[in-house]
Amino acid sequence: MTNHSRTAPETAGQKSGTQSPKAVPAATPANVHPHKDSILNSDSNEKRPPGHPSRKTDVPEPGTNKRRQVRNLGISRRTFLKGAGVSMALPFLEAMAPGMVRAQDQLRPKRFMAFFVPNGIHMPGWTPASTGSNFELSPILSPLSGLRSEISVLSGLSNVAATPQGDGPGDHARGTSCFLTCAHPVKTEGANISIGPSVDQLLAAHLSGQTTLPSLELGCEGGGSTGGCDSGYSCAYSRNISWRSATTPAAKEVNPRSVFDRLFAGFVPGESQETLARKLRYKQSILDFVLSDAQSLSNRLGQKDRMKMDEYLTGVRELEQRIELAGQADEGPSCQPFERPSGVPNQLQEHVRLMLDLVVLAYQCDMTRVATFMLGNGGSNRSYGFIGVPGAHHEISHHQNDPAKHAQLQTIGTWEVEQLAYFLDRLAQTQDGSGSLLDQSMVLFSSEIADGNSHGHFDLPVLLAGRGGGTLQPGRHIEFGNDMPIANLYLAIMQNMGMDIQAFGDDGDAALTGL
Amino acid sequence: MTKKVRGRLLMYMVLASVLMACQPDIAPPTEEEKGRIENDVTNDAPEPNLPTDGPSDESQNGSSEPNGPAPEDGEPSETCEPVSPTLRRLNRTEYDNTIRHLTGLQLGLAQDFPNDDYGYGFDNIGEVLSVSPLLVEKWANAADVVVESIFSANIVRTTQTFEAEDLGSSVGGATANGWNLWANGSISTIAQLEAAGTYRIRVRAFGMQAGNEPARMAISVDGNQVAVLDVTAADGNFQVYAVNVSRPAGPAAIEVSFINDYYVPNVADRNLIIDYIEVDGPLEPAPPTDVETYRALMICDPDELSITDGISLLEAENACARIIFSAFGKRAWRRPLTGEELTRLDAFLDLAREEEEGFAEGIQLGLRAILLSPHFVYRVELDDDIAVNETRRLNGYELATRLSYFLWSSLPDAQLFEKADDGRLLDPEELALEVERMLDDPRADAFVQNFVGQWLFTRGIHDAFPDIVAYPMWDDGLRLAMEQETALVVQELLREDRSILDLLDAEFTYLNERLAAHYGIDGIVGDEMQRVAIPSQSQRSGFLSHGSFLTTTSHPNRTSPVKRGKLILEQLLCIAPPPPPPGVEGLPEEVDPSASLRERFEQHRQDPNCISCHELMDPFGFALENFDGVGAWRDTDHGFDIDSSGMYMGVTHFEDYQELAQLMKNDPLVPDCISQKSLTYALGRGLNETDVCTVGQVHESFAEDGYTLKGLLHAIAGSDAFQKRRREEESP
Repeated sequence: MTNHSRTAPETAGQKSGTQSPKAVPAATPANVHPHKDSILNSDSNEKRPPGHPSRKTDVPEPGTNKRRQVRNLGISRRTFLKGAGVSMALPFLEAMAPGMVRAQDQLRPKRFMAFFVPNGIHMPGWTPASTGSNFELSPILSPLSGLRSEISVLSGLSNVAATPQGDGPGDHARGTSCFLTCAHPVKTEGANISIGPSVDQLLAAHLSGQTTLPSLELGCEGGGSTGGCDSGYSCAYSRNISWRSATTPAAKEVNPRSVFDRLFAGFVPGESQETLARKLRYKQSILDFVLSDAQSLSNRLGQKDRMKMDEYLTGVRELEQRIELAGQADEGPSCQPFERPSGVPNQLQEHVRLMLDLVVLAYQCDMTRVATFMLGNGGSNRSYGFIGVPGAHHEISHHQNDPAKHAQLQTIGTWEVEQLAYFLDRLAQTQDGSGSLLDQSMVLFSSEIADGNSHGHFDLPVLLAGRGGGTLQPGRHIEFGNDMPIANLYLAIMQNMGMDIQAFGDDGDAALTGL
Repeated sequence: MTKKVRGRLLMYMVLASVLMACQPDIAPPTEEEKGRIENDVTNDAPEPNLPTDGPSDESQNGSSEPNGPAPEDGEPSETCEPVSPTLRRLNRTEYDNTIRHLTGLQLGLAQDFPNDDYGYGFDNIGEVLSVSPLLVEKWANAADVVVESIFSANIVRTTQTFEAEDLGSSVGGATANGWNLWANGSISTIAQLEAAGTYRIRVRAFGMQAGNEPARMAISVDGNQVAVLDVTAADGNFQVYAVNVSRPAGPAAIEVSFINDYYVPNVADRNLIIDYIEVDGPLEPAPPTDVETYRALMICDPDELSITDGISLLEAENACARIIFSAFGKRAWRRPLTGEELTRLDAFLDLAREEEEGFAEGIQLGLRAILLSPHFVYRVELDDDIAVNETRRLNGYELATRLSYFLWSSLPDAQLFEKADDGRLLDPEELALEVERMLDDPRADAFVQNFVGQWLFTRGIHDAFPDIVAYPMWDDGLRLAMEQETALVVQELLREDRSILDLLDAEFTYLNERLAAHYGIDGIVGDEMQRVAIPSQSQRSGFLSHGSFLTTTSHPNRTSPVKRGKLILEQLLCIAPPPPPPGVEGLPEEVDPSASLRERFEQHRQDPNCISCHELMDPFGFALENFDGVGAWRDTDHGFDIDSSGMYMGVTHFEDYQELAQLMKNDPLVPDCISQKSLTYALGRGLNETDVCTVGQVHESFAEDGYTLKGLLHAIAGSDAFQKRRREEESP
């Protein structure tokens, strides 16, 4: 009993069942550390001398029930992705010579995010007074003061597809469904829904196979419990900005727990390679079975029904692809999931931020590169009592030039931009390559209409943030006149993301330059 | 056609002309819009031959009698052409109900599915119920969870205890009641875990304390440290230390280590004494019904069968798989499986064998496939036995399925399957018996919840967020009670076979203490909703005074006469007011802020753009101004007296909402509208001109039966539109 050598390094507190006993040097929690096998853990910041008390993960029984929460799970990306049935090889750029890194960053994945806010924006409080790089932030944009060099305000963009064109009222449904599609929707309560694929879904298809999930569609307002959305338009139009095809919206998730599970579920700590492989074979055989059902069924269906079955087939094929990717699992950068959210937070701001955190996490883990976020549904009637604006948002947006309502709309708009600022900050603080995630991203912020009273689809409130992996030079207020199609902005974004596309929507014919 | 119907038609024509005049400056309607308007017109007016091209025709209709050939008298035997609904997937409600009735497990998995979109006011419209990849992914996960839940029910939670002195150790020696780890080192054991799940590892221990920190213990599972614990218990006073771990099934190597040995010869010695290690789990509870579910599913035991039939175990397993898949598959797919389908399911047994897993695993794989198959998630009806444009009667299984999703929002029960098996269901008398039985079953509550909840917007109470400042009394208790009130009143009208029109002026309602107080009605005690006879002089009577309706149609901080009027017009009278032109929604700017809400509206209506529509819509809302934004009674609004009088349809004067309710009760548009709404819900599609015939028939039958809900539902179930299909055109 004289040997008291203490050689084993103590690890940081680990949540029950998590793997890997290795400790790593200090790293900030938000950073990705793509070195092989590295395990990140915020607790590893606290460098402990050997023998210093380590963390207690549980309390004795009997005793107080209060369990200590473990904040971070340090899991290598490979480990949990394998569990989730998916993983992807990525180049290890940091292993290359330091001088190479900058150039290599341009080859790093780029990300796209569309951030939708409902009911337009109070334009006098939005548009900066001057253009160029010395523009002054307007009151609504003031929450972005720390990020001014990372954003561009784009004035004078229009979405003609969202105008009535003889279809009468329904600008919220139209503006929302046209938001990322720039295609005029067929006015219908249900039969023959038709619009066009959205920017994000085209990007997702383009990047298909490179990440676990082609795209993430998130929101903070689900459906309602009754029908009747906007003036003879099916609710599908006002509740979705992401459209996989002319007829199928890409449904969004509003529950952060579900999103988290989608990203990380299926991870069973300590599961053997053989068990995992067997599970994947089982999944594949089940998919084979239902694919065969769907195909033989499809041959016996009429035209309309066959379209319905196609939606199903697409979904099953996407699941198949994930299983295939899982079979080719390789090492990738590690990243750290936070605690599994328990559900939808009661407070809207908390809800919004949790959803945005999940996007940052998905980017950080390179589980997807494309995301959309609807803060509310088109024409949302949410009350903003918590920032002193009770009453229905949509109703207030019909301000009738009442100064009191203008002030209320400015308050709501400023709060919305605060949430954008939160997201951009998180991206800016998260390392990616030698720069940040924001450097690699293009984040679009806009609404289904410009002014809420006139329901205009011209001179929309548009903001583009991030450097798009070197394809954007932000920090300016750019004026495009009044009838530049926003579809041309989308063409630029898609081209920046590597797509070979020259026309988009009803009026996109030439990618915007000088962004 | 009867005089009554003709009268309705005429009335509608007048209204339609008013409506068309609402927006003189709006561009002419598009083709789609025209279709919609025509549909609305034809739906409401059971005339087979309305002109169908161009808006000018419609204004003609408004100003003159239709001059087509005289309509034939509607005879009950008249055949109406069926239309085939688009292939319908299960919506969230139907998915959860189906799983519940299929397995007995109430898992609520669809709560996590993306929201269903609405069309024509309902969430069961085939054309609108799209399938995103996200939904397919959720279906796959849900199928796994259902099957896992069934089989884990057979797993019993156990505790395995390992005495420390019996275990392998790297250091130390036995001591009284335990094992003394007297230097850094560990004891270890292997626990066999029967199922994946959460297990609690308990270690009973104390420390022989020395030095400036307590003894410290690490617990590892399969080489991964899962906990480091300070063992503060001392001097032989054992305490239990525990940690939860989530594990797959199979062996789990558990190691408990002493990691901070401290020793100064003859002065101080810190050691860790361990009594036992316990592994308890899985902790996830399996309710008793789950075990029944398991037994109901595993209706064949290969071991037994192999003995009783004297066949090999392999043969017995194959035979049992057939039996199990046939029984479960038939209910899940709502029809018997074909031999080919069963053969394909058998392959899962072989797959499990290849992977060296057992019979149970093979069955689970097959069940997962059954639940993810399009035959489960869609309600499939196939027309490949008939030519294009030909019509056919549904077979028994298809009819049973349409019936059960219509009335129960779930799959058919055993009796319906029986009557589908032998074709009895196709006999009109048997069908009527079944409808009657189904409506008496508690599952019919789903019809009230889903049809009535969407028709009358009472489900929307969950989306209403009254402002806390304007309505400090509002809370979820009130919300729930209001939703239940309307549902319970409709249920009683259904059960007692009374006219559904009594909903407008029922002499009773259902309240609990909370809601009664909110309504200003004394003498109701307790949280239970109870039947309350309404005193004759009460301010409350009928649906128009229900908190559910009044709250759902209000803004967060004030009432909305327009929304209330719009709901009555659209949902009870089936007249869709065209929405206001952009920019004229809400209260206008040049109003006198010192005026009452009604006066301000009146000013707004002076605008010729607005008056024609609002004249129709607003009186309904103003009649209800005595009810505030959460349905509480008020005599004044911001100090102004409330004037609840008005003109019904611009023609008949009423003094208050109760007189309005009487006018509505006597208006044939109301039951006609109910027929249309319920047909839309039953058929899962928007109505079109082909349905004019069906609407007419259903309405006649509804009227003959005294407007009872049962009469209506019988009529729909017996209609050709419900019982037949037409094969649609092939793709070009």
